[in-house]
Amino acid sequence: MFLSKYKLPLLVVFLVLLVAASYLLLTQNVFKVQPPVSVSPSEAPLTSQTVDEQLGQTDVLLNGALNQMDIDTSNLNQIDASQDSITF
Amino acid sequence: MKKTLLILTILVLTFAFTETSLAKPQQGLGKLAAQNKATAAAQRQEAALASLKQRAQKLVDQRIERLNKLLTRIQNDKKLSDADKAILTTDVQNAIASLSALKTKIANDTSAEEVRADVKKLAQDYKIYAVFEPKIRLLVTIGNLQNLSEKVSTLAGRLQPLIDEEKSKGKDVSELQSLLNDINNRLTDINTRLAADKAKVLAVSISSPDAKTVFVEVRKDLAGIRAQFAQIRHDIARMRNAFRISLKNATAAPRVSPTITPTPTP
Repeated sequence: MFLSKYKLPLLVVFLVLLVAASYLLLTQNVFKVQPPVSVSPSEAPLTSQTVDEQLGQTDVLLNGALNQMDIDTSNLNQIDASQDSITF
Repeated sequence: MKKTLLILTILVLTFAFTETSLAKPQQGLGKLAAQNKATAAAQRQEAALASLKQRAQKLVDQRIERLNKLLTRIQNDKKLSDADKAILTTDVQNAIASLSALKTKIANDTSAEEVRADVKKLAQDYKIYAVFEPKIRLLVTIGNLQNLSEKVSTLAGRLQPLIDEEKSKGKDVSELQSLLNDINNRLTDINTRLAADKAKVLAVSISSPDAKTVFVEVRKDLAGIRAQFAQIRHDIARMRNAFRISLKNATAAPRVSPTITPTPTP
């Protein structure tokens, strides 16, 4: 009696819930398997064993960057701005 | 009498005819000479135009060659961010395309005036040596230093927990903390200055009257930033040493005072 009376509204509610559930499942990647998060050495917490290596690598990085900066500065010095004053 | 008159008439006519026939070739020769002169002048003008075009195109080629070298420098840079690299590459490629179009225009110019106008344009509208190349090179340097600062900041952020941990073990970390604070303060200063320098350089355009002044200022500031990084490097060397000593003491500690109860680690 109850079912036959509210058959249509119940069906509508059921369909709405079904669509909502499908939407959530698809957009929230519920079934997607997340790859394991890998921690690179540069992100892993430092320990007293790894700190020396990391500081050493940073020293190399700084040295390389400062050398490159010196090369760039030298290249800048070599630009002769007077070449844009063309007499033709 | 009649005979004499006839003879005279014949003589006069003969003379007149001779004069006319002799004058004609002379007139023809003059015309030809004038024509030759005009042709030679036109040829000289054409050669002069060709030489002018060649010189103008050489000036364009020299600039394109420099820009291609600059493009290689940008593309081979592994420290520049992708965004910076893309912007700088597009800027240089656009300048090369524009110069190539100017070169084609010069090739099609029909007068020396047109060529001279194009060369004037090359100097005034492009300013490859005075503005464009220094601007791009400075932006590359600033980008590299920003990337370097970011990497050192990441390391500094990872060093603090380790120092805190050592401190919690009862070790004297005052030197390490002082060095790390110095690094952090210098990085803050570096980041502020680099951002300001980048904004200044980006604001420079080909028409900026103060481009040279801005470049001198920024280069002076970059020299100061370089000194800051050199000091950070010095701090890092001292930190390495301090950590080594700390580690050595940690391993030697049980032998020196075996009665000390080790702190429980969580």
